[in-house]
Amino acid sequence: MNTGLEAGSAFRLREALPFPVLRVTLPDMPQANDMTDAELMQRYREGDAAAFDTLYSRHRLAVFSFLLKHSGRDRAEVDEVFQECWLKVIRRRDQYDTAQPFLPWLYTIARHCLVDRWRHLGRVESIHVGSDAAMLGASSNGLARPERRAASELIEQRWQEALASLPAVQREAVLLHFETDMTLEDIAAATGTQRETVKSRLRYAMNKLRTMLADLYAEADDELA
Amino acid sequence: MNSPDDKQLREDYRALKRDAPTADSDARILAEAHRAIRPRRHPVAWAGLVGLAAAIGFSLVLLPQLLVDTPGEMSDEVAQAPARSAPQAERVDITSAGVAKTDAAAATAQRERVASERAAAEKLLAADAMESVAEDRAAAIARAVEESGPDLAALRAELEGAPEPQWRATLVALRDSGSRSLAEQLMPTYRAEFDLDESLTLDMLVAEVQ
Repeated sequence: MNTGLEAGSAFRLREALPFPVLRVTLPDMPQANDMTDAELMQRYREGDAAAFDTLYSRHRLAVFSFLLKHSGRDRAEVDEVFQECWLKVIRRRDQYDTAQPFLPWLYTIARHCLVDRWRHLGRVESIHVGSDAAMLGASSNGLARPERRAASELIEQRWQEALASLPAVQREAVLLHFETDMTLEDIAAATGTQRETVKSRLRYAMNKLRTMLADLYAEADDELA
Repeated sequence: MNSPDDKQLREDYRALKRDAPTADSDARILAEAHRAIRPRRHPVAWAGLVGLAAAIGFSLVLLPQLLVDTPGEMSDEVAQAPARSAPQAERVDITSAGVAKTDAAAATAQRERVASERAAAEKLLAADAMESVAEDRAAAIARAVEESGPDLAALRAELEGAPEPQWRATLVALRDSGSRSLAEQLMPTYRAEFDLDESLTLDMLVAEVQ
């Protein structure tokens, strides 16, 4: 008997059924990775824990790096500040205005956590740059060595020194600029200052970095030549 | 020499090795994020859970104690029936040596717990005492300002080298006693002294303390 139900023939199957088949099309659900930070926060507030996971994985490295390089403190201590920062994000999730960009809000919290920690510790020494680091920095010829790893470590060290030697407000502005894709307006919002102030802080910081790291680029030029 | 432009600097910075938070941090944050949005259970469900826990606790802890005789009260018949009570005997050592050992261990644990609680309490008291001294001193400074008038230089000299709680308490006391402008004038020194963010205002400080 021909039932019209040959395997693999969905069209015939539909024809053979004694009742009409509705074609249901589900709306395209946006993937978490395609969502903006604000959308993820909104989803999280509505009870979607996975949205927070995406948001966290998107920004964890940048936030940690910002805290580490801005404070110049050891990793264990920065780890605590980092935890405080994200726990505040979780607890204050309902205070976030999803009409506003997320990063200024996040970095405002991160800065406050850092300030709280500094205040809690009382008098704070200026950014620590170890004597070994200073010595390494003084011998820029290290770049010419063949060991790539050593050269890479030296470059890291030079950057660390250069950043640490900037005034705190300039370092903060330049780290936010380097670590995130925030606009000048966003950085101004995160740091509680004006756009023009951020712009001039960035200009000063960039000029200083250029001067302090100039020999690295000179080495690179020599190697190319 | 090829001087890098802003874009080049940013790219070079981003090419550097990035430090990451520890796995413990990741785990704690994500666990808290998930816990925070977990729906609250209904009170009746909570009551049920508590009742269930109490019942389990009773049957696991109290019931065996009620059922096991002390050595002095144990009849010969019961004492001579090892096979039947063997599993229980493995868990509860009811000989006098065993009881003494358990008592000693419990006493040690109790002593350690008391010592730990005492140390924590002393730490708290020390912190409270420091805050209290700072507040007393701050109140005295504020009274002196009220009586003799504002003297910024004298105040700076007074606070020079003082710990951060002393500064904070003094600024708040000055502000509370009507010398707000004096406190405002001291804020830049306070921020510089403790390397604090320049956006920190007197009001933020007061809000935090109160």
